[in-house]
Amino acid sequence: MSMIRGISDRNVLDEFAEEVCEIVEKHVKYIVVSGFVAISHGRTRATEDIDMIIERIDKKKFGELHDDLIENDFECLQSPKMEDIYEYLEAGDSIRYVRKNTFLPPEMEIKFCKDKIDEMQLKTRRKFEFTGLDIWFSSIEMNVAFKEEYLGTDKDMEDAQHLRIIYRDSLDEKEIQKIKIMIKILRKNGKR
Amino acid sequence: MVRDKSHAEQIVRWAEFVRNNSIDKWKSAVNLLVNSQYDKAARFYKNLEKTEDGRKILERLREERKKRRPQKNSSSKSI
Repeated sequence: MSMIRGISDRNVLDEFAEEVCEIVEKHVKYIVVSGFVAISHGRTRATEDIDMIIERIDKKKFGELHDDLIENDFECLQSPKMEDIYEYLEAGDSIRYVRKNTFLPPEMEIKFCKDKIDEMQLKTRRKFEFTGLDIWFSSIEMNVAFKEEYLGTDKDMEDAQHLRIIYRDSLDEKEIQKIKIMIKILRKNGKR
Repeated sequence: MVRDKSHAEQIVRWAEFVRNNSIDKWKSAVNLLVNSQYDKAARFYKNLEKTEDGRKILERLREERKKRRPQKNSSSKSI
């Protein structure tokens, strides 16, 4: 794998994402999903946040992860109190970490795995040599399906189109359709 | 739906370029775009710090951002 590159090869988002992911990986299984997947595959657009899904963990384990992030100069925007942050996660909310003493993006938006699709996303997570990044992502099929079936904005459709071109020869269309059906069943209250 | 024909064509053209070239060829363009947007925002905030009014705006922005409620799992922009 050609994942060891110079700092100059990485942009602000790459550096932020790799730093957070390296810490999170020590405590819990995670995946990065959505916009950053497309951007790290060469899509030319910016984003303020990177979306991450983590396995459900208990408060003690989350406390260890939170402490590690704090020790490495990140802070949670919603609250400095671990108990409060954990409550947000438990309630199905996402929490946002940024570099300490700045309220500026980029930020890592973290949420708990919430259903069978998220479990499947975690189970089928991938690292993509194409990106040059040492980060676990959800599969391309998952991202394409979610963007086309669930999110559906111009930006999302363009992300999906970009990924479809990059992985033209290897994309599993049947899998995408299967995931789209799961989305329809499990996320009926979704946007589309 | 994509925005317009020329925009749609550019999406395809760029994706084909990324697909058909090594990371060294396309990554620098992506880095330039991403870094410049963050640099520009940082410069904007730095300029705000220079004046009293600007500092008040910054403080307000900071507080607003911290107060923002966490987003529900089903938010429109999240998987």
